[in-house]
Amino acid sequence: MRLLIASFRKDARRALRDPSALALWLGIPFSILLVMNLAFGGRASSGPRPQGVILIADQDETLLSGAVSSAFSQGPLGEMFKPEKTAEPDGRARMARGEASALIIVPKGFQSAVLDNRPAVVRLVKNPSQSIMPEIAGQSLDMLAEAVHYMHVVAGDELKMISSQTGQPSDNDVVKTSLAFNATVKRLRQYVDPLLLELEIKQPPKKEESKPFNMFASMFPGIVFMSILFLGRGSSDDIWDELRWATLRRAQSAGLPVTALIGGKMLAAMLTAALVTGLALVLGWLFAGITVANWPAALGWLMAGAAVWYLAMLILQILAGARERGEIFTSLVVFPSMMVGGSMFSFDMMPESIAAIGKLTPLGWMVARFVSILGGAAPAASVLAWLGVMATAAAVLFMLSARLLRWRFLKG
Amino acid sequence: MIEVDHLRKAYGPLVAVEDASFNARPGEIFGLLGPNGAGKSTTIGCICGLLTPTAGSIRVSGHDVVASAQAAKRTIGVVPQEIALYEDLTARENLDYWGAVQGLGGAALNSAIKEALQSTGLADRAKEPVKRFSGGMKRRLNFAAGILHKPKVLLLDEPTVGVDPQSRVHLLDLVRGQAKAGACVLYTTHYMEEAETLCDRLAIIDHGRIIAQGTLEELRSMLGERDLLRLTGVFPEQAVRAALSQEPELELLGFEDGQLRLALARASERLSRLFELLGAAGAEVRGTTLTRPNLESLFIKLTGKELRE
Repeated sequence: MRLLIASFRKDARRALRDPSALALWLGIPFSILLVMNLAFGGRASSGPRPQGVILIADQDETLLSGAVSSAFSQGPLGEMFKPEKTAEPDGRARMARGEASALIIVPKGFQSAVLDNRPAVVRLVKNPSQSIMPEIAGQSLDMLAEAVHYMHVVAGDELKMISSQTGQPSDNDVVKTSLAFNATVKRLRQYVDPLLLELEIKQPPKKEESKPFNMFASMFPGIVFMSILFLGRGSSDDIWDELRWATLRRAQSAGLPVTALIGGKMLAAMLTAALVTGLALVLGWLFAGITVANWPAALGWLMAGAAVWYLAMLILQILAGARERGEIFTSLVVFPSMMVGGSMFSFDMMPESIAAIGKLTPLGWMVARFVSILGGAAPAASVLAWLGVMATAAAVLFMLSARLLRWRFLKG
Repeated sequence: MIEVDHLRKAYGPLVAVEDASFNARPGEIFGLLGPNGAGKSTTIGCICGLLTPTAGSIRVSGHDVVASAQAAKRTIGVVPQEIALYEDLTARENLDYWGAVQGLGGAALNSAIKEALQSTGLADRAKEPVKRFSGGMKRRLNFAAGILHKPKVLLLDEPTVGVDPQSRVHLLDLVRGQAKAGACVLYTTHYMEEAETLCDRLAIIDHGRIIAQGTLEELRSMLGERDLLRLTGVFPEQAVRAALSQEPELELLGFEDGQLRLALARASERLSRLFELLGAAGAEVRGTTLTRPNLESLFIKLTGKELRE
């Protein structure tokens, strides 16, 4: 124990002697978070959605041509588009200036062509500098065309009746048209009332009212573990200094067991993790509403994570056999882990399938449980069980690293 | 007390030390003198337990270094050839760590650190990080880290490599002080002058084998108080050999590549006579090097090469 304390004290002093490394281990992950926050506006779905201007040059000015414009101002399309009526030349000029997502030109004779089931060409001019909004406008027009087609299938005769009328319809015409529509509805009723298809209606579980998306809060757990990964990698790299300075061999000749040496380094990494992530938790409290009551469990989890990642990285360094190869080996683990394990992108931001895979990785497993701990959703018994898993992993890695270190560098 | 008995250390087919035997006593400075790669560091590695001997036995302070490694290590202080210090820690923090590793703690450790800093002349730089130290200061601190626990056996592996003359003198004084205090000091070096001025007894090692050992006087006597004369030039071999064979108290040590090596008594008095003989034999002497009997000349006599080659 005395030797373990001596080793820990030495490595803790060395770690704290280099505040720039501590700042980097915290600074890089939080810089990434800051950049992501700036790039995506921080609150992805609670803020105003992007709205595209859609210009409509209505040259027909009839009931049906007006319906095209109305389609873009109602329902979900209405949230996405702001339709503005314009003349074609003015519309084209505005498109050239990139002031709108799309221009729809409804030609003269559109209504009569639709009612007579003749081809009608509605032209769509897309803004080439945008990709999503013009595409939505195009898809919406396709859906309108399909609707017109099915309208003709079920009520083609009635539509022809309407189109054959000129001027103000007489009461007689209105009655005839109404009766014709009524007959059509009766014809369809045999299929729809009662329905020939038996529908099983499932009520989806009532979703809890979702809180507004907060990117900082969403990414915070993964970002903190990114610090832990960097710290583990940086701390494990120290084994090369021990070899270069011959302090490892001197310690061996002075009777320091390898277990005390690695144990001291692991404890120093845990202490460093507590300092670095303690500061991170303060940031989390300020910007992500992390409850202070959850800090002790969170800090314990992070320190356990630091021990596991330090030992895992140390094993990779030893297996690599040289500092340069050690950097490559550890990078091969750190960066893919960060990508799928919830550090670079939170699980909320990933497709469900990728998130499910990510949560199976060691980092993802730790991050997912850290989310529960931070949110106070994890029962104490679960947290203890998880810590038990971490302690077991750390013990196995510890013994393995000690054996490998003796085998690789201290065999005589 | 160090007792090395028929030590052999091999790495596969490569034999680093072969059949080395010697004893070093308390209060004595025992030197291991040999060129780089002779097997000095391997021998020290085996004594301090870093390396496992392939054959033979080593006892330190009565403990077998393999069977009772920890007991043996407790009595040993090692000053490695490398400056084995943490560059980012201060001198005091380094000593604090190495002292603790060697079993010291509390007031005893503080007192030992204070004493070591004083004796190495580093007390006023104790709070500075080692990376700011000169090479000589680092060497002194390296030495201090090995003597904190007042070891009975002190192993010094070329502790003065690359230091300035002032620090060297200081270090050698420190080594003498340790021996005076009763420690058994094993000192490896390839500096002949250091071995001559410092060591009570010596073993000369080359290619892993001890080729001679004893006190300085005993080793010198192996040369028979003869000087070593090295001549360069053009030497017709047969004629020169015939001419020199008539000369009393002269031994022809080597004859190769325009170089003639001779061992002879009172060489300076006999130089003119030698030149006459060689001239008569048709030789042309271009250079002369006269070496008084010392470890260097003994090493040359025993191995046919200079110590620093």
